[in-house]
Amino acid sequence: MRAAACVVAIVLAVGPGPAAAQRLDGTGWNRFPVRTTKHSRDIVVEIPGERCAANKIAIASLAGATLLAGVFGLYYHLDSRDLAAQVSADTPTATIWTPERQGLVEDTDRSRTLAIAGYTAGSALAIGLIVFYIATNPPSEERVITTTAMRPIVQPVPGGASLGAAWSF
Amino acid sequence: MRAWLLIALAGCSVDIASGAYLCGPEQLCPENLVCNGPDNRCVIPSVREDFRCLLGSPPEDPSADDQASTGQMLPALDCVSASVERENCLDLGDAVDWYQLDTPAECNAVAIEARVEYPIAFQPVGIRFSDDGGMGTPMETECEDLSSVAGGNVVSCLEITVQPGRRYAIGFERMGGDCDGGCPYNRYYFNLRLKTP
Repeated sequence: MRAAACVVAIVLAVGPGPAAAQRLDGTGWNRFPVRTTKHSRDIVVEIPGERCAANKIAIASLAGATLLAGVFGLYYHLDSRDLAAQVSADTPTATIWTPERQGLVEDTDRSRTLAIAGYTAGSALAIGLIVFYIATNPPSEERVITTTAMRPIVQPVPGGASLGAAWSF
Repeated sequence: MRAWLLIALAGCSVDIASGAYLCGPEQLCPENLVCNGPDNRCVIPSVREDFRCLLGSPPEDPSADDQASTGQMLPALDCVSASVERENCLDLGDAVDWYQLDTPAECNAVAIEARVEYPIAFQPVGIRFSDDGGMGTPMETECEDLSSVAGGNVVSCLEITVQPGRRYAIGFERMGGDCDGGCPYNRYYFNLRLKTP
């Protein structure tokens, strides 16, 4: 395991000052003894599961099919709307109802049926995609990182002391 | 945005109001609508009425006009005449109406120009021409001006050069599709004039 060390340093503006520090050991600016705590804490990391390539391809295929079905439905929806607009009338038109207009009605019905089929297929595929995405979601993995106990570091500096902590994992 | 979505989703089926369209050939109408007899409009079945010859006063339709030799006599016409106009009806049991006319003897050359207009919804009306008082023959020539045809109607025309000083008869008869026996009738309006060929 890669080792790392973190040091949090806090400069304390309090303390005995240079004169007082010198008095502690009588030799000048020597290092204070380092005290470590006995408390350690584990770090729990959740690592998401990774989908395999086949799963990704299946999801992409389902998404593509959903999109295609939706576009198919939309195309025929708009087509049926345009065709319907050509023959729909709510006021007298003074025109004859002809076999050609009857043909437009039949084309409208056909496009409408295809639009419904496209939307239905798109909806079914979308639901299938969601179910498949959830059902094939790989489980995440928990990893516990054990850390060493924190070691506080106190170091005299001119005019005060530096307080820090270090631990490794 | 919501309004746009509603507009986009709506209107993908045909919506036709009662009376919006005139009946097509052989009473053709949109689904759920039927052809109304008096005005040949496509209406909902609950308001449909049977065919009537004319909306106004009943037409003159003597039974004798079923023969060319006893057809209704049109007024005297000049070599180049104004139009004579009539409207009439061919009902069940009345297959043909004949009209007789005399061409002026003083004309150097004369032609009959006739034009009949009728709703396309019911049985078509054809033109028959007789120069001997007999049953004559169906005749039709290309119509020159179709700009004044009323909505829902079609026209048939006849232009034929005839001899001055003779009697002719023009008949209007039901011919063609009759909705498999469901519309063996029609109203018609015709105008006729003499002119120099």
